[in-house]
Amino acid sequence: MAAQIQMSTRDLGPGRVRVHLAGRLDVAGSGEIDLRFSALCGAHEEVLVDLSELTFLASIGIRTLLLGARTVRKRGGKLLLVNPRPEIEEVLTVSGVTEIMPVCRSPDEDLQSRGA
Amino acid sequence: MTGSGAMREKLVLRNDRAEIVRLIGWIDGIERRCALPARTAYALRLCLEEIAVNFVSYGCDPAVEGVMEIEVRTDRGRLEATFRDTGRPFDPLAERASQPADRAAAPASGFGLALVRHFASRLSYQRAGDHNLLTLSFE
Repeated sequence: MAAQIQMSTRDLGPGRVRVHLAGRLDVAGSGEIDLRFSALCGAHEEVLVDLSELTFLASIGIRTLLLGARTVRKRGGKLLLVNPRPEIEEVLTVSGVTEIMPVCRSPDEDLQSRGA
Repeated sequence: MTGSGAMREKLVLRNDRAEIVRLIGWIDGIERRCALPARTAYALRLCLEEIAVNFVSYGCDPAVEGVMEIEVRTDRGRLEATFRDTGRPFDPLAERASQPADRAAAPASGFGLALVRHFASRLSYQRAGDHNLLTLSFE
């Protein structure tokens, strides 16, 4: 089966990283990125997760994101979810995780101007 | 509801996590064949995956082979999914998980059933003999 999810990263300077997720973060997608995402969160104080091209998020994907957010927060940092599609944001809201992983809107040009 | 008239699709899964790959391919096929509105397609995929993953992971004693039959159909313009399985008695309507006050310290799991209850417009459950029978409807 073709990869369900693609994950790419861009360094934003000391302690900061942008993670771009595209595709489906379901049971197959989470299995593909869990280790890499966890390692990234353990190595940065600010993690911006660009969800603009994430087309599907299931409960196991919330777990992947939430464990990463906790890792960052333990070290005093933060993980932000950027530009989720409406259904993805609905999943996050229903699950009650947006206090730990705040959702923010940022136009592409704004992310680019911030070096993201 | 669908752009291609009546539809009836069936899949039988065993309680083996490897079966989830087959489930995902089956859902992909339904999406290709049926022109579902975007939110309905999302709700259907989410509920199918959450219920099936729950069954293959926790629905049966691992030493016992269990089976789940899934049917997705349109009925008088309404989309429905029926799950019939041989697992332990399990009523997802009775599993009213309360949201913890402090999500930061709560387990990073247990979201699936809350999502199913939110994204399905109607749910019904019955224990029929030695089977669980769950029906979900979608607007």
